[in-house]
Amino acid sequence: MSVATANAGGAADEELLAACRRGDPEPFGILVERHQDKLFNLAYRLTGDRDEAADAVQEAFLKAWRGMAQFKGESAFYTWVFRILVNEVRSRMRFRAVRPRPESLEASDPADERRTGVAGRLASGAAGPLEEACRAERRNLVESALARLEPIHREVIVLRDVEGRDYGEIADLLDCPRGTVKSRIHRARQALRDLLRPVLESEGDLR
Amino acid sequence: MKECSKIQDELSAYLDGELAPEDSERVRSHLVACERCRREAEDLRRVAAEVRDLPRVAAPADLRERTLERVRSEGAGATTSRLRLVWPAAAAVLIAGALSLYASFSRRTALPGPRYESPAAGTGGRLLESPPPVERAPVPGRAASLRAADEASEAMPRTADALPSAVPDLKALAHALGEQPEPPVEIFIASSQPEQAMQQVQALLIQNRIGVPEAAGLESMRRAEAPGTSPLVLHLTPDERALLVQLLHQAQMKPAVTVGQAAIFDQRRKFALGRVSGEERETVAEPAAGKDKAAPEPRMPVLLNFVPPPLPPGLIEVPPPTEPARAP
Repeated sequence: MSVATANAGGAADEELLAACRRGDPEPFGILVERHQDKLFNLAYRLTGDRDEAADAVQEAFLKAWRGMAQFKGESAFYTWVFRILVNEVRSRMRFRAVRPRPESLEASDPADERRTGVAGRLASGAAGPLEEACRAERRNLVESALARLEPIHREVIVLRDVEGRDYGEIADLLDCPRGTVKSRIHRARQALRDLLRPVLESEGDLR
Repeated sequence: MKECSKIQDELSAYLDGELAPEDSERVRSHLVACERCRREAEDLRRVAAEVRDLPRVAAPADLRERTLERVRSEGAGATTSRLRLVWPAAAAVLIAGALSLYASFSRRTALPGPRYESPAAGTGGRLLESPPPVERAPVPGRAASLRAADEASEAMPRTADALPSAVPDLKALAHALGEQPEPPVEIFIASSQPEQAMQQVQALLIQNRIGVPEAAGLESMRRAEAPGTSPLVLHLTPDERALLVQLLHQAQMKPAVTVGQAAIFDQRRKFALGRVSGEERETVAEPAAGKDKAAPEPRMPVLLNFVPPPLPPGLIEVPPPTEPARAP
């Protein structure tokens, strides 16, 4: 987040929303800046594709903008856009009917990670180059395993393990019974376990 | 062993703290005693931890600016207002056409044989050939409110009352957008419950003798490879398609074919009506202005996002949606 918007972004979401309702797009920019990283991460984990994720986030924000008059503020702005985004990604994935393309994070802009503090966290572990490489390799394996899951399994895993949502929230988001969420999460983890067997067997738990 | 299998089904929920206290305690005491299940639990825990520990990926640096650009252009209403007016026009066409289609539908069901070979026959086909001219005069206030309602109903979690009650006929929409569909067409039906969707659509087709010479024959319908997201592909004539859309609606598969969820594909790109940006709609509406004015594709695939809700009793018997059973 840039210094300028960080300062301008001192206002609460509600104040910015009020300004947006008057048709001013600039406060909306602050809201976008404020929430885009979390939303992008969600979309990226769901789709496995940076471009698709960026498009979905953009579309979700746009829908939020268009539906501003209908947004009653009963939930937080983030929660609202989050729901829009989950629906957006789901319909995109359904239309595409293809598996996501896992991208190597190695190919991504290193500044991205610094911005989210991941590189910082890794660096603070004073890890040597070898250990770094091992972690990167492991991460790639986990990402491609995730990408190989069925979409219905991937979405529950991302909502649970990446987003930290509980089963009730996931059921509500996906509009399905809680028991379905429970069994899907379990099957998804079993599938991941099978895909990650080599990782689980060859290495100890690094944490 | 049976106990182990029961316990193992609960392990993920146990690890997530999602079991009732007594169930959680049952699992915990089993794990103390059973090494096999303990190992299983440990594997699942590590799998979850691996996913949890994936780095958070930041949004591309230009995402904010790109989003704002579109927001600004929306605000000005420059790119979208004209096409937004397509929706009320299409709805009007639909409402005008619904009764005739209904009549056409009744006649069809009374017909004794397959009616496969006459795409142009029947009022259903002609009915929508010439939709009323799309209102072109800018009415910004009205357009904006329609747009907002449209978008909101689509963006919000699906509930029955959030959906528009009138289903726009896809063909009328296509006309309104300047597309000229040519027979045959393909209908893709994407569903999280493809089996159920298949059954329901099949039943509708058979009952109404659309595109199928006999009950057993649905050769034209095939499933694509990815389960859970499989499109069902049908080759239909335009009036069969129009009828099917109506039938789906009459069968109360409402969420299937709504303004926000119907999508028209051109040869290469997908255009989700009600979802695409103004610029994209412009592209759909005015292909002549574009680059590739090449040979028109003989088919116009139409995608219906199909979410089968329970049918009204007595129409078609379909088992309720269930998770596919899986051996432990």
